[in-house]
Amino acid sequence: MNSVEQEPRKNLWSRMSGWLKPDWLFVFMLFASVVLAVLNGLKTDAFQFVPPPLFPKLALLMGTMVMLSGLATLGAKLDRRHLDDYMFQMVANGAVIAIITTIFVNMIWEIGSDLLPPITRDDLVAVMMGSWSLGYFFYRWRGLNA
Amino acid sequence: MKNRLKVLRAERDWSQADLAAHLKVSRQSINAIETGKYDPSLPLAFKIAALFEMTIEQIFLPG
Repeated sequence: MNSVEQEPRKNLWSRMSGWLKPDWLFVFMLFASVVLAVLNGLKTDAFQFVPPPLFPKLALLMGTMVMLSGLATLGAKLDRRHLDDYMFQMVANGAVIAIITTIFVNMIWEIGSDLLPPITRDDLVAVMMGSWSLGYFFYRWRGLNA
Repeated sequence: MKNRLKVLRAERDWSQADLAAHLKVSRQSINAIETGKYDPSLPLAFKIAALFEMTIEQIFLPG
Protein backbone atom coordinates (compact mmCIF):
# COMPACT_ATOMS: atom_id res chain seq x y z
CA MET A 1 0.00 0.00 0.00
CA ASN A 2 1.15 3.47 -0.79
CA SER A 3 1.30 6.13 1.82
CA VAL A 4 1.55 9.87 1.64
CA GLU A 5 5.20 10.56 1.02
CA GLN A 6 5.42 14.19 1.84
CA GLU A 7 3.06 16.65 3.49
CA PRO A 8 2.89 19.74 1.26
CA ARG A 9 4.38 22.82 2.93
CA LYS A 10 1.82 25.26 4.21
CA ASN A 11 2.36 28.92 3.52
CA LEU A 12 1.05 31.76 5.69
CA TRP A 13 -2.24 31.99 3.77
CA SER A 14 -2.88 28.23 4.11
CA ARG A 15 -2.26 28.40 7.84
CA MET A 16 -4.45 31.49 8.23
CA SER A 17 -7.24 30.12 6.06
CA GLY A 18 -7.66 27.29 8.57
CA TRP A 19 -9.12 29.90 10.89
CA LEU A 20 -11.12 31.70 8.22
CA LYS A 21 -13.64 28.98 7.43
CA PRO A 22 -16.78 30.18 5.60
CA ASP A 23 -18.85 28.27 8.22
CA TRP A 24 -17.80 30.76 10.90
CA LEU A 25 -18.32 33.75 8.64
CA PHE A 26 -21.87 32.67 7.85
CA VAL A 27 -22.66 31.83 11.49
CA PHE A 28 -21.57 35.39 12.26
CA MET A 29 -23.62 36.82 9.39
CA LEU A 30 -26.72 34.89 10.47
CA PHE A 31 -26.26 36.18 14.02
CA ALA A 32 -25.63 39.73 12.78
CA SER A 33 -28.75 39.64 10.60
CA VAL A 34 -30.91 38.67 13.62
CA VAL A 35 -29.29 41.38 15.78
CA LEU A 36 -29.77 43.95 12.99
CA ALA A 37 -33.43 43.01 12.55
CA VAL A 38 -34.08 43.16 16.30
CA LEU A 39 -32.27 46.48 16.76
CA ASN A 40 -34.07 47.94 13.78
CA GLY A 41 -37.41 46.79 15.20
CA LEU A 42 -36.64 48.62 18.45
CA LYS A 43 -36.11 51.96 16.72
CA THR A 44 -38.89 54.35 17.60
CA ASP A 45 -38.08 57.51 15.71
CA ALA A 46 -38.31 57.22 11.96
CA PHE A 47 -35.47 58.67 9.92
CA GLN A 48 -36.74 61.72 8.08
CA PHE A 49 -35.41 61.56 4.56
CA VAL A 50 -35.66 64.57 2.28
CA PRO A 51 -35.50 63.30 -1.32
CA PRO A 52 -32.75 64.96 -3.37
CA PRO A 53 -33.38 66.17 -6.96
CA LEU A 54 -33.69 63.30 -9.46
CA PHE A 55 -30.54 63.76 -11.58
CA PRO A 56 -27.94 63.96 -8.76
CA LYS A 57 -29.65 61.02 -7.08
CA LEU A 58 -29.48 58.91 -10.26
CA ALA A 59 -25.87 59.92 -10.93
CA LEU A 60 -24.94 59.13 -7.33
CA LEU A 61 -26.71 55.76 -7.48
CA MET A 62 -25.17 54.78 -10.82
CA GLY A 63 -21.68 55.90 -9.79
CA THR A 64 -21.88 54.02 -6.51
CA MET A 65 -23.25 50.94 -8.24
CA VAL A 66 -20.48 50.87 -10.89
CA MET A 67 -17.74 51.49 -8.33
CA LEU A 68 -18.98 48.94 -5.80
CA SER A 69 -19.76 46.28 -8.41
CA GLY A 70 -16.16 46.69 -9.64
CA LEU A 71 -14.88 46.23 -6.10
CA ALA A 72 -17.21 43.26 -5.56
CA THR A 73 -15.90 41.67 -8.77
CA LEU A 74 -12.33 42.04 -7.53
CA GLY A 75 -13.38 40.62 -4.14
CA ALA A 76 -15.06 37.64 -5.79
CA LYS A 77 -11.91 37.06 -7.88
CA LEU A 78 -9.84 36.97 -4.69
CA ASP A 79 -12.36 34.61 -3.06
CA ARG A 80 -12.26 32.32 -6.09
CA ARG A 81 -8.46 32.25 -5.97
CA HIS A 82 -8.15 31.55 -2.26
CA LEU A 83 -11.24 29.47 -1.48
CA ASP A 84 -11.39 26.07 -3.05
CA ASP A 85 -13.98 25.50 -5.76
CA TYR A 86 -16.47 23.68 -3.48
CA MET A 87 -16.49 26.47 -0.87
CA PHE A 88 -16.66 29.19 -3.52
CA GLN A 89 -19.64 27.52 -5.20
CA MET A 90 -21.48 27.26 -1.88
CA VAL A 91 -20.81 30.94 -1.12
CA ALA A 92 -21.86 31.96 -4.67
CA ASN A 93 -25.02 29.80 -4.67
CA GLY A 94 -25.92 31.16 -1.22
CA ALA A 95 -25.58 34.68 -2.66
CA VAL A 96 -28.04 33.83 -5.45
CA ILE A 97 -30.55 32.64 -2.81
CA ALA A 98 -29.99 35.91 -0.90
CA ILE A 99 -30.58 38.11 -3.97
CA ILE A 100 -33.77 36.29 -4.96
CA THR A 101 -35.09 36.26 -1.37
CA THR A 102 -34.38 39.98 -0.86
CA ILE A 103 -36.09 40.92 -4.14
CA PHE A 104 -39.16 38.83 -3.27
CA VAL A 105 -39.37 40.12 0.31
CA ASN A 106 -39.20 43.68 -1.03
CA MET A 107 -41.87 42.86 -3.63
CA ILE A 108 -44.20 41.29 -1.04
CA TRP A 109 -43.83 44.37 1.17
CA GLU A 110 -44.50 46.66 -1.81
CA ILE A 111 -47.67 44.74 -2.70
CA GLY A 112 -48.89 44.46 0.87
CA SER A 113 -47.76 47.90 2.01
CA ASP A 114 -51.24 48.68 3.38
CA LEU A 115 -51.40 45.54 5.50
CA LEU A 116 -47.77 45.01 6.55
CA PRO A 117 -45.68 47.11 8.94
CA PRO A 118 -43.18 49.39 7.12
CA ILE A 119 -39.88 47.83 6.06
CA THR A 120 -36.60 49.77 6.10
CA ARG A 121 -33.27 49.45 4.27
CA ASP A 122 -31.76 47.94 7.42
CA ASP A 123 -34.49 45.29 7.46
CA LEU A 124 -33.66 44.38 3.87
CA VAL A 125 -29.94 44.17 4.69
CA ALA A 126 -30.85 41.82 7.57
CA VAL A 127 -33.00 39.72 5.22
CA MET A 128 -30.16 39.57 2.69
CA MET A 129 -27.50 38.58 5.23
CA GLY A 130 -29.79 36.02 6.88
CA SER A 131 -30.88 34.43 3.60
CA TRP A 132 -27.27 34.31 2.36
CA SER A 133 -26.29 32.43 5.51
CA LEU A 134 -29.28 30.10 5.29
CA GLY A 135 -28.58 29.48 1.59
CA TYR A 136 -24.95 28.65 2.39
CA PHE A 137 -25.91 26.24 5.16
CA PHE A 138 -28.59 24.63 2.98
CA TYR A 139 -25.96 23.78 0.34
CA ARG A 140 -23.51 22.77 3.08
CA TRP A 141 -26.10 20.34 4.42
CA ARG A 142 -27.68 19.02 1.22
CA GLY A 143 -24.78 19.46 -1.17
CA LEU A 144 -24.48 21.46 -4.37
CA ASN A 145 -26.31 18.79 -6.37
CA ALA A 146 -29.47 19.08 -4.21
CA MET B 1 -22.32 11.82 -10.96
CA LYS B 2 -20.81 8.73 -9.33
CA ASN B 3 -17.12 8.33 -8.63
CA ARG B 4 -14.53 5.83 -7.37
CA LEU B 5 -12.61 8.32 -5.27
CA LYS B 6 -13.26 6.62 -1.94
CA VAL B 7 -12.12 3.24 -3.28
CA LEU B 8 -9.01 4.67 -4.91
CA ARG B 9 -8.16 6.57 -1.75
CA ALA B 10 -8.66 3.46 0.40
CA GLU B 11 -6.41 1.43 -1.92
CA ARG B 12 -3.60 3.87 -1.17
CA ASP B 13 -4.44 3.98 2.53
CA TRP B 14 -4.95 7.74 2.37
CA SER B 15 -7.25 9.69 4.63
CA GLN B 16 -9.50 12.40 3.22
CA ALA B 17 -7.10 14.95 4.71
CA ASP B 18 -4.14 13.29 2.93
CA LEU B 19 -5.91 13.42 -0.41
CA ALA B 20 -7.03 17.00 0.23
CA ALA B 21 -3.42 18.00 0.97
CA HIS B 22 -2.23 16.43 -2.30
CA LEU B 23 -4.92 18.22 -4.29
CA LYS B 24 -4.59 21.48 -2.30
CA VAL B 25 -8.31 21.59 -1.50
CA SER B 26 -10.22 21.36 1.78
CA ARG B 27 -11.05 18.03 3.40
CA GLN B 28 -14.72 19.05 3.12
CA SER B 29 -14.32 19.16 -0.67
CA ILE B 30 -13.09 15.56 -0.73
CA ASN B 31 -15.92 14.46 1.56
CA ALA B 32 -18.48 16.29 -0.61
CA ILE B 33 -17.14 14.66 -3.80
CA GLU B 34 -17.15 11.18 -2.23
CA THR B 35 -20.69 11.54 -0.91
CA GLY B 36 -21.96 12.93 -4.23
CA LYS B 37 -22.79 16.34 -2.79
CA TYR B 38 -20.51 18.12 -5.22
CA ASP B 39 -19.21 17.45 -8.72
CA PRO B 40 -15.66 18.78 -9.00
CA SER B 41 -14.73 21.43 -11.55
CA LEU B 42 -12.90 20.26 -14.68
CA PRO B 43 -9.46 21.49 -13.49
CA LEU B 44 -9.92 19.62 -10.18
CA ALA B 45 -11.10 16.48 -12.00
CA PHE B 46 -7.92 16.62 -14.12
CA LYS B 47 -5.80 17.03 -10.97
CA ILE B 48 -7.50 14.00 -9.38
CA ALA B 49 -7.02 11.95 -12.54
CA ALA B 50 -3.35 12.95 -12.74
CA LEU B 51 -2.77 12.09 -9.08
CA PHE B 52 -4.19 8.58 -9.50
CA GLU B 53 -2.59 8.23 -12.96
CA MET B 54 -5.93 7.45 -14.55
CA THR B 55 -8.29 9.14 -16.97
CA ILE B 56 -11.23 11.18 -15.73
CA GLU B 57 -13.63 8.57 -17.17
CA GLN B 58 -11.98 5.84 -15.07
CA ILE B 59 -12.74 7.79 -11.88
CA PHE B 60 -15.99 9.63 -12.60
CA LEU B 61 -18.99 7.82 -13.98
CA PRO B 62 -22.16 9.38 -15.39
CA GLY B 63 -25.49 8.93 -13.57
